[in-house]
Amino acid sequence: MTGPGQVPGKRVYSANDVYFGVLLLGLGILGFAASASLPFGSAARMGPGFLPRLLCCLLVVIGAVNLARAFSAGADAALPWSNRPMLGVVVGIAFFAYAVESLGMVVTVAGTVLLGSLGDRNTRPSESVLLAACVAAGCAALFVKALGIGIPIWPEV
Amino acid sequence: MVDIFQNLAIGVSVAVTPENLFYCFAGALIGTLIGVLPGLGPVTTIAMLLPLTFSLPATSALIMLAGIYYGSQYGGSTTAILVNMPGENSSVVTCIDGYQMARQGRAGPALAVAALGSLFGGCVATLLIMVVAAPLSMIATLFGAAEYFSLIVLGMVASVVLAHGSILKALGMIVLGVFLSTIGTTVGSALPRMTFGIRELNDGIGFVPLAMGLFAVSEILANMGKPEDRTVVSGELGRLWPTRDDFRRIAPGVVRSSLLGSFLGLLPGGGATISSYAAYTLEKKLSKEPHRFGKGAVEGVAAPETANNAGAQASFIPLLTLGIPENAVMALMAGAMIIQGIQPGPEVMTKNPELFWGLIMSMWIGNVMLVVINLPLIRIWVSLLKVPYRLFAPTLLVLCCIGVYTLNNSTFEIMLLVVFGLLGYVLRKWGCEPGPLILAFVLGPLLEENLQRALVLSNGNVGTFLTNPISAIFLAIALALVVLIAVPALKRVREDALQGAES
Repeated sequence: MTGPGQVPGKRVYSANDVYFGVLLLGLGILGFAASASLPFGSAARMGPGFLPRLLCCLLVVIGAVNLARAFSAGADAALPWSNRPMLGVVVGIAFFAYAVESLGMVVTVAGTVLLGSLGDRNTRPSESVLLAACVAAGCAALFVKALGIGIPIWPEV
Repeated sequence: MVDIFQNLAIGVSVAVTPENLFYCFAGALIGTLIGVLPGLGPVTTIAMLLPLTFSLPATSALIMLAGIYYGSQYGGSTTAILVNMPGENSSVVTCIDGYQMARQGRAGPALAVAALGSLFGGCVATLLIMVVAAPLSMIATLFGAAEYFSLIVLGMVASVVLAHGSILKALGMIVLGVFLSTIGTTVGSALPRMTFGIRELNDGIGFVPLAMGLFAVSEILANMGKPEDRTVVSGELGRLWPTRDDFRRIAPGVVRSSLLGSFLGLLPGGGATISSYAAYTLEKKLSKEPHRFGKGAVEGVAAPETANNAGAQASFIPLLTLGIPENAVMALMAGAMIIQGIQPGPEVMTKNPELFWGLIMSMWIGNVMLVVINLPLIRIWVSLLKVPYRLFAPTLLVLCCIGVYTLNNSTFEIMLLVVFGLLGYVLRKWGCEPGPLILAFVLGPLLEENLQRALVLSNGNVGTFLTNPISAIFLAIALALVVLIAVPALKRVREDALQGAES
């Protein structure tokens, strides 16, 4: 893993500070635009736009300072992200959101488990299938049968 | 004095009803079950299990959540001792001597000492709550809007003290948290605010998808990428019960650590983590044989475990009396209370005495239960530790989804869960802890309300926060904290305290 201060190449800034600075700056500007139409009011009579705009200014300032510091505080690289888990988790949860209203508990849960486990490089296919079956059965029994939440067990036809 | 006994009677009568005993037990058990999984500490566990409690009456829900809290904390210590992998910062120091004890074949006594120490620390903190809660909430009722505003600012700033990494980033996280809390329809006007035309955002960003995304999903993500190199201490746990010599060694330290933990738990920004570090350091300093520390000293396990439980329980005090959560865990508790329709603060004690005292008494009962359920079950927890991560990661993911969905039957909130999960993941990679964000998110509405009221009262004069003496003191402390952490020498001490203990 590449730690702070031992970055190969010609990086002259702290990637962590740059990313975070850009995020804050972006959100600050976005928020400012979104709250621009709201009445600002006055200090004595704060309107709904008062605090958001104040906060957006703060976000922009802190974001900018972060960016500025990124070039003075010493170089580092952001810790490597792992794309595979992100993909697995996003796809898994997205499938859940898509399936839960129509496909019933068993299919939804099994699908989420299978897709989610794709995110882990240690996954073994046969194991995941077994796990999906067990978790689906468990969720159906616990949440639908025992706790009675409003998700049907099987797809509705 | 009579009042205290009267209140205790109310508390006991609430806490020992069969339902509440059950929820306390269930919370402690499920909390331990999830908390024992490597890498999952109390914050993650509570975030994940929050929805479980929402269908319950407020008192039972909080009793169960508190059970989940100390259950997961105990589960975390188990992992720390057996796998040398702290679930949360508060058990980092437990690893040092706990794991060494385990390697010497004394895992059993280490676990038992951790449990018994926690019980003792919890009892002391509970006593403290009984004594100081009433006077503190009395004082809090005297606070006006300006004082409250400044107190909230202080609470937010203090949470930065304990966050890892740069103060600037932590301040950024706070502002981000308040910013996120302003999304949605405002109370005063019916105007949707910064919703970008998304109808589902009119009620604001949901607390549960935010908390669960930031703490649970991001944690799953972080652990998924890691190679599995866990080595559970194999072989026998050794006999469970500590020897007479162990008891002799730990006794004075346990008493000191309980007091220290309770005190540190009271402070803004305090809580379990700082208590455990402070207790370990103190015991090492006071010990006649400091060289034993780090090589499996039983005192080195007892002290931090006692202190972190004392600190954990004492940190309920600011939440229940002032309405200010002092760390991420308490922010989750505050969020749960608000969802239950209870605004944390001085009114809890007067308006809901049965909730307040019931919760306090249930902590006592829960701590006893924890020892009773855990010591016999340790072998089960050990076998659970051998389950590879690839199996429980997708399972936890499903639990998160179901939990979020069942709250409002909203698929939009599941999408929020993904967004905040990814956000939490990258923020961690950038060196930003999500704790201050969630704290600020919970306190955001309160901050705005009090700012508004204070400014109305002062006719728009911002100086009111400085001319009001109590408010000025709070702000001065907040400023002093920022300056203190920024001073290079003290910065180093803080970093050592937060990270150095591992090496």
